[in-house]
Amino acid sequence: MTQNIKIREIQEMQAIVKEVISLRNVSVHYGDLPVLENVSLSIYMHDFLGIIGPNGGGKTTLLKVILGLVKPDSGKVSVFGGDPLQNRRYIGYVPQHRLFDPNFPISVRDVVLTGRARHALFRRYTNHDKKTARSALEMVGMLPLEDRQIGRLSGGQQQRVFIARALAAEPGVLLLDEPAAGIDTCVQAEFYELLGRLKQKMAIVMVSHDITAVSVYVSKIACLNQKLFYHDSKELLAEDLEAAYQCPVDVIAHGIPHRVLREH
Amino acid sequence: MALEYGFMVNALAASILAAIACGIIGVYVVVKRIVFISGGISHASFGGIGLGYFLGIEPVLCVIPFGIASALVIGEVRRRTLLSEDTAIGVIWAMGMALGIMLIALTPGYAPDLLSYLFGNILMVSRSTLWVMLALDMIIVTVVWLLYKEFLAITFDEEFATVIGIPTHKLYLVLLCLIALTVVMLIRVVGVILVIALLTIPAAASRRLTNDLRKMMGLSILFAALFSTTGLYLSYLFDLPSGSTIVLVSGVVFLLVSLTSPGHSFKY
Ligand SMILES: Nc1ncnc2c1ncn2[C@@H]1O[C@H](COP(=O)(O)OP(=O)(O)O)[C@@H](O)[C@H]1O
Ligand SMILES: [Mg+2]
Repeated sequence: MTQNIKIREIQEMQAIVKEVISLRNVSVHYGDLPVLENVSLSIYMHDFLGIIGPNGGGKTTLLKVILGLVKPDSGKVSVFGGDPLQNRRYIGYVPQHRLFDPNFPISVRDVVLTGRARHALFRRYTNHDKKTARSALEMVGMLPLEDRQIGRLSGGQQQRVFIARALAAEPGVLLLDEPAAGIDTCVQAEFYELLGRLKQKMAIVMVSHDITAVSVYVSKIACLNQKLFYHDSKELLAEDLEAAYQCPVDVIAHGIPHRVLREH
Repeated sequence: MALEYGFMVNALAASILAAIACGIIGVYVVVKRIVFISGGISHASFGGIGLGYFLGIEPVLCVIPFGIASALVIGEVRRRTLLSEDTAIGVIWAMGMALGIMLIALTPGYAPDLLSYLFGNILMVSRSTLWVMLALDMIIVTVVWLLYKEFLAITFDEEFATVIGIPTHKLYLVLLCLIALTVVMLIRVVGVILVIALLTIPAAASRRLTNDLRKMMGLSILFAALFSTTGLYLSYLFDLPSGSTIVLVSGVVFLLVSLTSPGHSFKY
């Protein structure tokens, strides 16, 4: 009996250690507009969580809360067991809206190297930094264009460079905000497979509109529209989707392979 | 020959020293698109000149703390977002100028070479000012050399830099202070009102010739030195005001480079 309790305790402790991101009852308002309501979420090492949801559902805001860029009005956020402001540097972030200036005089190589800035803060980049940046570029297939000025790439190619920048940081968790938007189908499949491999080394959270892709590649799925509908599994209830999207579910269900929707 | 005159030698040395500062810092001003902020810092610095007159201290020495203070205020306002950044800069811009004029009016007697602070008079640079300029150049070059990588990250993508753990705000304040120091040097060359020309034109012209930030800095130093020495020579030759001659030379060359260079799709 006591033996059992002990084992459970140990398991719980291991779970806490592996919990890379935790949100407890997080609420966010922009002015009087509620954006996130009582969101609780745990992300563990090797998770590949897909987040779907309607436009304006708060997906980007949720990622920004994790990154400490948006301060929640209530609730608790912890990243690697600590303050997001302290520990966000272990997160690889691929933003949805890339606010950079396409005229900026910087090469693809140097953009990806900025992903190493945390490792090389206030010192020169080492050969190891350069090698890591190089292999990140290679992973997304952008190595041949490493000398290009960043604005001289197509939107999809730029997106791949920003994914490489996040990977170059060797993050413990990767937050991707609609990363596949603008990437051609062929590269997309490769990209999702890459994420599947990266999962061995980190946790991945991906916001996406591509419900089909999400259902094939992710290991867990959540649906967000102010409230988070999430069962710590790859299944979503039809009524969750209906509540989240606020439209009849069979319209949605067409787009979702059967195994995502739980029969009931 | 013109070079026989000591003041001409001083003026040439001042042009080169100022070119080093504005060539390097101007590149950040242009690529980070903080031209308006820099205009704010330079105009607000006029308050420092007024303070110098009022206290009877060498005005340039008063501009340094005054310019840095306005840079820090502008930088902090941006973070707190109490006001829109534009509005805040406008207020500080005008208040600094007004304070300078007020202090000069309150100073008994006549204000000599007031116009030279507004519109520059590089022929009036003294040997001691040259030493100050050299020291400021050394500070600027050293700081940029040490923080090049970090400055690149925060000017390219501030949000990502913040997330990855770079102290973005502090570094941004450092950059604004370097702009303030550059302004101090340029006041002697072109004056408070025309400073913005030398902070933007050489860097923007060099952007059209290269895609590399380091090369841009080098080219921009060359452009700035070329503009100010040519302007200086023309102003001497035709007895024209040096500050405005330098700015007009810069503008004309910039237009030529812009219209003829292959990089004209870069909108700076
Ligand atoms: N900075 C902001 N200020 C005010 N409202 C915002 C801001 N950012 C997002 N919103 C609002 O918050 C809601 C959620 O936005 P967002 O998180 O971007 O949704 P999603 O990424 O799911 O499309 C939207 O209604 C949007 O209009
Ligand atoms: Mg979004």
